[in-house]
Amino acid sequence: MKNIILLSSLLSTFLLSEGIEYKGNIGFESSYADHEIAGKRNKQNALRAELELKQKTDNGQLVFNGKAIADIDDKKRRYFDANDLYYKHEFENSDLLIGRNTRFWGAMEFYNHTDVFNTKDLRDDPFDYDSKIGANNIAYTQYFENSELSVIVKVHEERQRVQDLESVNRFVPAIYGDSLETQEGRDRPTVYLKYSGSGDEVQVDYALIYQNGYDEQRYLAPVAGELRQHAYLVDKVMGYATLVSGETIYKTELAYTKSKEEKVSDYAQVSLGLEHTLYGVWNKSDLGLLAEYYHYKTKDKSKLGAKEFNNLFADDVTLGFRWTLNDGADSDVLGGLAIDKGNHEQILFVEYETRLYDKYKLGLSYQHLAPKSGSVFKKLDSVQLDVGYYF
Amino acid sequence: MKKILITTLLSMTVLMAISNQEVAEKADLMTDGFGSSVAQTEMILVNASGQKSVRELEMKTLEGENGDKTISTFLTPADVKGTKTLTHEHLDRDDDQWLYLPALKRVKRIASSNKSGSFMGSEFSYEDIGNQDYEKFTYEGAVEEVELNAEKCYKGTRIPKDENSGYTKQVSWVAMESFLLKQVEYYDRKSELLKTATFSDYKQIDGVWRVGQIKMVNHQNDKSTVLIWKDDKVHAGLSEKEFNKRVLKQ
Repeated sequence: MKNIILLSSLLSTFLLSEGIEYKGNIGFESSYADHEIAGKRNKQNALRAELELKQKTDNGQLVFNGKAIADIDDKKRRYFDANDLYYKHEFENSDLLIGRNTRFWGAMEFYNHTDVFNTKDLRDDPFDYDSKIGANNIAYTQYFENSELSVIVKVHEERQRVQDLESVNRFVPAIYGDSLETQEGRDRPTVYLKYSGSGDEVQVDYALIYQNGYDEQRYLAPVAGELRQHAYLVDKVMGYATLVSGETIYKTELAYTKSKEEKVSDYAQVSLGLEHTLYGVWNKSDLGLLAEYYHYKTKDKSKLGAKEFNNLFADDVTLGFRWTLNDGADSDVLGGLAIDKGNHEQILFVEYETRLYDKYKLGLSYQHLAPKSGSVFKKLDSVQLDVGYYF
Repeated sequence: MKKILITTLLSMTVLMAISNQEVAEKADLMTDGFGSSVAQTEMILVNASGQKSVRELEMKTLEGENGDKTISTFLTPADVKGTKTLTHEHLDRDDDQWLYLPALKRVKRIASSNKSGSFMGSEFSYEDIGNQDYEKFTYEGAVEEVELNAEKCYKGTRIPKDENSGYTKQVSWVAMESFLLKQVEYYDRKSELLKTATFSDYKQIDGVWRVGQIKMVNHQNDKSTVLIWKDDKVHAGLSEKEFNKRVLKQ
C-alpha cells in the first residue's frame, strides 16, 4: 500500500510538471516451443507495455521506468514493476542518486558474470540476461577527467519470482517458494566501490569493483516444506576491460568471490572475448564475428559450487555473429552457438529485429536447446514473435 | 590606367596561382571558428524505390585543435530514442567512439578504424560525417575553374591521408566567390564513382558559415540520404565536460 501511494504521488508529480520527456512501447509476444516435457505447455502469449518518464530540473532529473506484463496463459506472469524510480542530483563534478534502478556492468556480448548489481527477472526469458529487477540504492559518483569513482549502497535484496509450472521457462521444481532467506536480513546493505575509466592514448575502457554484501547467485535449500533461495554474504573483487585495436575489440571480465557462508565455496570467474567487424560485406551491411569463453572455478569442491548453482557458464564457449544490414529499418540479425565444454550442452540461437513503418518493431527469434542427460534443461526448440508499437 | 592594369594583372596572377590545397584551406576556414554548436537535424533515408524513412538527431559539437568532439542523440524513431554516439576525433590516430544503448543502460566502445561504415544506416559514412579538415588530405593536380549550376567553382582532387578511408580520391567543387564547398564526388577503393554529396542552403550564423542541407546520392545502389539542419546554434557555450563519457548516461 505504501509503495502504491509513493508511486502514485511520484507519477502525479511527473504528470503535473512541464517539459516531461517520455517514451515507451506496447507490444505482443507469442512463443511456440516444440518439446516432449510432461506437463509443460507449447504456446505462450503475452501483452507487454513499458513507459519511461524523465523530468529534468535545474540540477538533476527524476526518472521513472515501469514495465507491465499480462500473460494470457501464465497467471504468475501478470505483473507490474517499476525498475527505475530515482532522483539524480548533479553537482559540478559529481552526482548523487537515490531510489531504485538497474545498472549494467561488463564487457562481453552474450553473458556478463560481472553484471551482478541487479537480480535477474526470472519471469522473463531465462536466457535474456538484460531483463532485471530494479534495486533500491544510494549512489554517489565523483567524476575526473577520464575516470569516475562510485560508492553504491544497495539497501534491499529482491526476491525472484518465477513463471508457472506449465511454462517451459521455469527450471525450478513445484516446491519452489519465492520467499527469500538471507544471512543477515534483507535490508543488510551491500556496498560497491567502483572505479572506471578510459585510456588517454590507448583505446581502452576499464572498471574495477569491490563488493561487500550479498552475492548475486543464491543457493536453494528447503525451509518449511518449500525450496527457497538463500542469499549469502561475500567479499568480491571484479574487473572488466575493453580494448580496441583496428577493427577488433578484445574483452575480458574477471572476478574472485570470497564466501562468508560455510556451505558455499569461494570461486573465481574469468571471461575472454573478441569481436571483429567486417564492414561492407554485402551492399553496405556489416558483419561482426564474436567469440567468447567463460569459466567458473570452484575453490572447494566439497562445498556448493558452479554445479549446485546451475551456473550455465562454468566452462563454455559462445561463437556468434551480428549482421547489421544498415538499412532504413535498422535491421539486425544476432546468432550464435553456446557450447558447454564440460557438459556438452548446446544452445543455438538466432534473433532478427527490424522496424516497420517507423513506429513498429518486429522481432523473431529461434532457439534450440540440446542438453545432456541429467541436466535441468530438456531438449527444446522454440520460436518467438514480438511485435511492438513505440512512442 | 597603368595602375588598374597592374592591379588586374596581379589579381589574375594570384587567381591563376591558387593551388588545390589553398582552395581547400580557404574553404575550411569559412566554416571554422564556431567554437561549439548545437543542431537539430533531420535525416531522410530514401531507398532505391523511393520509400522514405526519417530520423531526427540532436548533434552537439565542440571544435578542437586536434579534432572535434561530437555527441549525437537520436530523437526519432521512437524505438531508438535516447541512443547516443560520442566521438572524440584525433587527427593523428583512430578516433575514440562510444555507443550508448538506453534500453540496456550500456556504454559500448566501438571500433572506429574503419571509416567507411554506414552512419546510422544512411548513405553517409562515419568519414563523411566527421570533420573535413583540409589537413586530412593530400592534393593532386591543378585547380580547374568550372561552372556548377551556373556558379563559378574551383574543382580539385584530394586524396584521404587515412589508410582506412573508404575512398581512393574525392573531387570537390568550391564556389569561387564565397569559398563554400558545393559538391564532392567520392571514389571507392576500386576507384569507381560511389557517391556525390551536394551542399546547399548555407547560412551565416554569428559570423560563421553553416551548411543547411547535404544530399548524398549513392550511384551504386541508387539510395540517397538528405541531412537537413533544422535549427543550428553556434558559439553555444559548450565545454569539454559536456563531451565526457558521463553525459552518455544522462
